[in-house]
Amino acid sequence: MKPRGIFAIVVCLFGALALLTQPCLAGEPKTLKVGGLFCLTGFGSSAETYIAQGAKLSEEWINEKGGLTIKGEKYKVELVMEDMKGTADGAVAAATKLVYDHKVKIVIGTVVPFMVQAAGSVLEPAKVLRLVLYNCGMPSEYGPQTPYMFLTYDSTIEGMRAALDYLKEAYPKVKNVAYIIPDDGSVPYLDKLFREKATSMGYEVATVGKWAMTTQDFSPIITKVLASKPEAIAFANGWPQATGSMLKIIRDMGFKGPVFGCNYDDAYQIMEIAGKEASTDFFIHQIDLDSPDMTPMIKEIKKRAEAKYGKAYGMHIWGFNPLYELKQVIEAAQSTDSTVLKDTWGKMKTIDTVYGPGRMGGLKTYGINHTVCAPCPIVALMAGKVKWVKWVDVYSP
Amino acid sequence: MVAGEHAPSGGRNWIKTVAYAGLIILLFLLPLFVDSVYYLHTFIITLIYTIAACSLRTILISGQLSIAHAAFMGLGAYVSSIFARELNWTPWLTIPLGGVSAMVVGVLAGYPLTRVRAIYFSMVSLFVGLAIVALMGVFQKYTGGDIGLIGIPPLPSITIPGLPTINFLSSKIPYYYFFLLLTVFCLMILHSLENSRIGMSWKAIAQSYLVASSVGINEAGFRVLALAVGCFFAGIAGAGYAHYNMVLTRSSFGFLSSVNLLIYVLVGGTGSFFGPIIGTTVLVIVPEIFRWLKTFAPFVFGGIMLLVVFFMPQGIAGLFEQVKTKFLHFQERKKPRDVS
Amino acid sequence: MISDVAAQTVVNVLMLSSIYILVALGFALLLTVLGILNFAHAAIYMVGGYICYQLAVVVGINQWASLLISMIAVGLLGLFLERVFFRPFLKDMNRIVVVTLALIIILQATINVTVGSYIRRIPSFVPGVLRFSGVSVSGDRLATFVIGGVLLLAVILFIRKTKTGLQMLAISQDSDGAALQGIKTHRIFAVTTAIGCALAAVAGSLMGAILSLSPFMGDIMLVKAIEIVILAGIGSIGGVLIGGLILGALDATLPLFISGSATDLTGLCIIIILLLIRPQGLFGREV
Repeated sequence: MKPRGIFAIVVCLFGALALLTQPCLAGEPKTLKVGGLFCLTGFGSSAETYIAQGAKLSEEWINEKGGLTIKGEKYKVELVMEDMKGTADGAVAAATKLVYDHKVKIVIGTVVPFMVQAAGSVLEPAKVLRLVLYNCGMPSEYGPQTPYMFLTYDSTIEGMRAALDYLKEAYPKVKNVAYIIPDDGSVPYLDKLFREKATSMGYEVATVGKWAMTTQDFSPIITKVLASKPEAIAFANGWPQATGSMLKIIRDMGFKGPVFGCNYDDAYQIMEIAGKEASTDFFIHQIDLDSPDMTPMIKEIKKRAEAKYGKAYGMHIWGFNPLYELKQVIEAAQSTDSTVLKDTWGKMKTIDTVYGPGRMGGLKTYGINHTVCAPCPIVALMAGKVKWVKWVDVYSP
Repeated sequence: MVAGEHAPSGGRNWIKTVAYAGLIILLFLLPLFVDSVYYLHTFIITLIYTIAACSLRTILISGQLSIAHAAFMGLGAYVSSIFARELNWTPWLTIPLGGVSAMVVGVLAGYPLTRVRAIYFSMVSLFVGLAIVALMGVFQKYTGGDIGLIGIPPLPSITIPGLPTINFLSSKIPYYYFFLLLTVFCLMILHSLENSRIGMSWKAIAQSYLVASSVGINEAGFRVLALAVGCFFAGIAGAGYAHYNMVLTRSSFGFLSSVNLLIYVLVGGTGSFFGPIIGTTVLVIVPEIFRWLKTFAPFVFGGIMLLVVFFMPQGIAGLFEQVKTKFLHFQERKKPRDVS
Repeated sequence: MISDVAAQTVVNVLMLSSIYILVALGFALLLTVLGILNFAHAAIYMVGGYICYQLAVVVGINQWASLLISMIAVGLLGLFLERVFFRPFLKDMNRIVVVTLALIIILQATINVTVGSYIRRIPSFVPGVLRFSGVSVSGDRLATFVIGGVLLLAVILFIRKTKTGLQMLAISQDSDGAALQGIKTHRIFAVTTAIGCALAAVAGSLMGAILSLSPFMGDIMLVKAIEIVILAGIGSIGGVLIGGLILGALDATLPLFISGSATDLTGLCIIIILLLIRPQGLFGREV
């Protein structure tokens, strides 16, 4: 054994200690710190970078409007963002940093389900109010055991309901639907919900195609799904790479029927990946920033995003929404305590979202009424163009 | 080699013991200086990965560069948490069970793997690791699939008569001490194994398996033994991690995680027992310090790796050797001048 | 009905194999001649795709020309990488592993910081879809099939027929011996790395059109490339064809029978068993 090895460790540890124990900068008085958990690098960063930008916009918007007024006192919002690095470990580390180093009691963010769950394992016991953007219907992820989690907008289950409603309306001849889903653990739950909703509307489920998360080429799974002769194809959830590639392959293989996505995803990005020729008869849960039918708030966010980042994306709007809702909750509760906020929000029946008036629901679907159900916008890709369809009112009881 | 390095002298041993004890006492006193839970979390993660990285080095010194180690960590983690969760076994029992199951799989995979050597071993081990992670995806009813497993019980509280109850849920300090003790325990075993006859045989096999076989060392046996030992401690580290983190995701044990463990070992230096310890400490803690760089943070990690590769051929642990050699050269050059 | 699926599957196998072969080709070349596992190959592949995208979409020059420029640019990058990052560490496997892994991290972070993580796609090189009797194949995939085949053949011919290629072969068998015979090993290493990186750029650009571009697109492809090269056997460029076909066949047919994560497991188990039967790979030198 070499003594210099020991010396090395001692030096390293002292160095690390000296650097680590530096006190962080003390916040200004009357500042409400809100944590932001996003993936700025690694898996998921392609969307979450823009969601984080949207959250930043909402922070600026609140402070420009004079901040929050709690019991006559003015508070400024400070958004502290931490990078989850696209891994569960990173999510746990970032959440720990936010809660115990930045001492935040409210956290917005986390989109990818496995990171929602990992960050939740730190945030939930610490009684931190969580404003989560997305959920894929796993009971372990969101339910009675997560009283501090709020789902700030429609997720895949609400999107699926809106999409099936619109399918009935736009393509009345369709009789059976195939369902394509990533094999990530949520299959048993989403499959059941989809079947229930589809059969109640008179559809037959042609097949359920499950793809492994490591899939590079979707041709085999699409070949299999098309062999069951579906008249429409639904994507449960996914990300633009997967959805876009699958749409392209589906059209390349000559499928002419409607295809739709249930999750909130950037239609422009999907079109870029699928290509103009393949982008037809496709619809997804998304807003169209250029349409005049947008809410005044969305138009405002669009202007701000263009001023600050040059271009506005649907993800900016999505990231703006949580703080917009939080402002109302804090002002209704007149408190910054997470438990008070949770109780107040739990009792609220309605809340305004950037997407329009929202209702609180989810008790029957998720086992907890912490879901904000707002109008669900639907955008179609028709003949290589993004076409605004309409707002569909969905509600998860 | 530096002259006098191997000269055993009572004085040196005495210094060594004091340095060891001092370091361990320092680590035991650490929670007194650090009151932030976040820093404690970082230290705990460092300790867990130190066990894993050191056990990976045990496999490495037998000439087997395994790229499956995180998968074995995951195996221990999932076995331990499934037994604790589904059957309500106490984690004190399931953590060793996790280690044993990782060891069993390591041995089962290890025997056929003795057919391949060097780069081929690394690659087949990579595929074995991927297969283990894929297996976790197949049994998603128990493992939760990609979304992950939650509701893993924490370590149960310990009651020692005459002392207050140690409750692991109350703060991270009991966890810190648990992992510190576990790390010291595991490293002591690994260290004594490395310096025993077994360790010598491993190193002989790594030098040349033909020579080793010719002097009667059972190559296959010793290689499997190295895998068994390494995987056992990886399983222990993973199981401990599961009951600390209380949430598991299979992507935490995939290709990139195995590669990360390998980076810890290689950057720290494979030549010294302290290499993986230093490597893990530097590569876990430094990126956490530079967290505020956000998208630029990966440059810090990559930069450290390049720095080590270019300036420290034997890893960070070898740096002190380098410095000492330089220093001795300098002194030796000085001496003749004094004489003249 | 079933024959349709079968015919489509045969096409899928061929197309997926050609994708895999194209990605693995440069990787195999570096492993054969330099004897290094270039983990950064997948990151270089991603950089190649991004250069092609920037030229074709942002600057707006002809797509095939931007593919060519991307090849040359990444080839030059290869020369730089060989000189600075590979050459000093060729004899030390541990250090080469660290250096190539560091390159992945740095290249990914560079693209993430400069271009951004927004998912992009290069427009189709060959627009349109070819359809015949229930089987369809997109132009890009067909182009990949042709380019992959031509490049594979070209690399094999280059190695077997040209002087530089034969020198590569000599070095791959015995680099010290080759150096004693007056072969300028470093020059050959530089040429090899440049070719390997240029091949990665072609693969990246075509994948950018078939799939999509993201800074982290190489992570899974790297594993696929490793699987092919190890299956083929180190030292065999021709074996990449068979390795690619096997992997393509597994990945394109297994999802028809098994669903989800089980396909990964089955594919890996088959590969592991094949490797345990033939540890040196199908066409590799004896270990």
